[in-house]
Amino acid sequence: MIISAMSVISPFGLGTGAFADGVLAREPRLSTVEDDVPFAVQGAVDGFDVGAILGETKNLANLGRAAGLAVGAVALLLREHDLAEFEPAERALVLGGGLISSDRAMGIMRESLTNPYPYQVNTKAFPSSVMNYSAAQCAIRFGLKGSNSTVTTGRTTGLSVLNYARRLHRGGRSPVVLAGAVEDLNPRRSWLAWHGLGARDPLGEGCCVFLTESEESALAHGRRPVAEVLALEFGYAPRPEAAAGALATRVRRALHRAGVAEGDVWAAAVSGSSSAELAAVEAVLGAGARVLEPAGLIGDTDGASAAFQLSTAIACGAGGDVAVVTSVDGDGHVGCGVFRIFDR
Amino acid sequence: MGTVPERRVVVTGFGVISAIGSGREGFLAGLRAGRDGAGPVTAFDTEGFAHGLSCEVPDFADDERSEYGRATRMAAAAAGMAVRDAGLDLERLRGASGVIAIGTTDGDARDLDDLAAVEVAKGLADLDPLLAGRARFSRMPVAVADELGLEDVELITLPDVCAAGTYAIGYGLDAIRSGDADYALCGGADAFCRRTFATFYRMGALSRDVCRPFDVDRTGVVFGEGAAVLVLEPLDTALARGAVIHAEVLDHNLNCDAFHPTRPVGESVAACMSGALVNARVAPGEVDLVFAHGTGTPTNDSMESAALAEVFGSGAVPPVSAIKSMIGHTMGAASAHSCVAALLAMEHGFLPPTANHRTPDPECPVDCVPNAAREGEPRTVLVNALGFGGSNAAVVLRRYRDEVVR
Repeated sequence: MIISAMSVISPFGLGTGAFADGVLAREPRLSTVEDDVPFAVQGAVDGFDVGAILGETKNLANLGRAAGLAVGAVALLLREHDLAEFEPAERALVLGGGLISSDRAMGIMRESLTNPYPYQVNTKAFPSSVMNYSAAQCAIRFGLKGSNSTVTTGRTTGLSVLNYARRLHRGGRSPVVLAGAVEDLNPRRSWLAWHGLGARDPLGEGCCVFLTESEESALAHGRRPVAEVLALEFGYAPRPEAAAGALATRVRRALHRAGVAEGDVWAAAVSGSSSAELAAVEAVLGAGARVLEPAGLIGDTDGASAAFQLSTAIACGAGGDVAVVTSVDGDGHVGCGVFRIFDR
Repeated sequence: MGTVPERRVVVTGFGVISAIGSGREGFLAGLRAGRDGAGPVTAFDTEGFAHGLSCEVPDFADDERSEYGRATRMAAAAAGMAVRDAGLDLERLRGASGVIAIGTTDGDARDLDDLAAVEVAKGLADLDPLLAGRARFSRMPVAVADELGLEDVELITLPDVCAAGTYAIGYGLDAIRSGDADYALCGGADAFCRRTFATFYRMGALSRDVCRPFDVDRTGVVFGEGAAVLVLEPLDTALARGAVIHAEVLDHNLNCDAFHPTRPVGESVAACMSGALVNARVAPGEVDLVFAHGTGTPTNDSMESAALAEVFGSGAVPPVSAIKSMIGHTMGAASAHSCVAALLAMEHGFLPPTANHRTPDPECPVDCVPNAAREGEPRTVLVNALGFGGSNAAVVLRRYRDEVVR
């Protein structure tokens, strides 16, 4: 399975180019937080306006930020590649995130608790209080009638959506799958992350979407491979102190499955949330391994973090470089991917 | 339909928690009796609501200090039952590679409701860290791995709303077929909560009394809760270890209406079911029993009846069971519950009924097995599911004759 196109909306702005420029310049894009949250700065997509991307304002009132970012990112991708060569029923979407529905869900419950009657809630906001809303909105707006799946595996979500896409391809279920991950900023997420996940580093938001298909399909439709997905491996570390070992095992297994020697790895893109990742990278690739860490530039994007790590590797790599993406979640998910990065 | 030779995948165990009974015997007895688990709401104070029942699980205690919320603990408990039912040796399981896929609509919704109550009373700065730590849906399969001591597992939560159970079973199927996994623990879980109750009440989609699928006087859903988890294994390894095989998972299918957040499209629902039958290489005439989505809303049941007529031909629709009339709408667990009911129906030779059925609706010309379980020998079963956002999912199960236990 290859990635033949991608789209990124990040604190660096709209598009893959803006993201690549920001990552290569290595200048953090964190802005002062106005809301009452326990973080002084965050990586926000300032001035984000999905209506401006779509060129219309219809049915945007209840869209919400997470779905807005997802719809915007898919719109940018489809602007370049409209997928008209595939039947609508062949166009699949797999989208993931972390806490992308909690804000709306808690908002509805707040209305139930504070209005005169407990049923006085905004039913128009209800669809966006369930987690598959972003994926459904993308399907509705762009006619994606194939399988429409929402996935969440915490920080490893960006790798899980690619694994899901790979299974759809392997099973002959869909010739083209858009696989992406999104996370948005809002005060409820900030406080849930602060209290529940022990988050102390700045948070961020954004969305990355990857167009996945076979190499033959890409070439037949005039697309060049951006990256090849060589291997994906997942596991569970029941205790934080087990995470480095569990991840190192997965990285070794993934490299073996990919047929790549440790010494041939160009860089590792880490999520930046866990010292276990650096320990695993050092254990497998050696102390001198090149490490990319986008969270330092755009904030911790939680459910979108692994997708941003891959986008970073694609932005920085070239010419067949092999990159490893690692992810460890505080809840115990560990995952890694091995990717070959081609010239853009 | 893939290019790789397909490994046959079978169900060798299941665990179930529901309002009409938990575990094999409890759930079977409830289905056979056509018992409705609906009763007054106990999860929260219903003052201000003029009507509304729930199908809560009475014997599943809350544990406010657990690191996992109610739905997540139900998923873990059902998975534990499933592994025991499958007769799997935990040490052997720990040495194999697995997938744990849990579908859900709302995750630990009750915790989010409680967090919102703290926000209202004191503000977000005072959120309980324990509850906040339970908020991410991604914890659901983590609890299963914890419960069983599994580490070589791919954990995934599929928040694909009311079709999520089938998404999870389909994911497990594809993971085993692809050779990535030796086994899968897959299903769904959701807990009854105030927010969803209030929203459906407001939308006019909450039943004014009980849940009456396909009845002319149906007025909406009754929400339930619970979990159902299946153990999937390749047929060859199941045979090699002498496992009891409950059924074969022939195949599944997913599609999307791509039309409206809450209004389903019958043609797309029919296309999804037909696609599942094509994938499973099953002719419509071979299907002996359908488990309908059957929510009991005026819109769903007439739409679904028309979709079934499109798939099977008018007048040729096999008996259709709507178990939400008994267990309530268990959302992300619903189609996994239907799959467990399908396994029991095939093993024990009966058709589970649609409870609370009084007056047939001319708009719903299906034999819904009204009120009383019927003797029968269902061999091939289609389980249909759909969710808000236009997500449709269908799965086809077939009795594995040689290994049937009675």
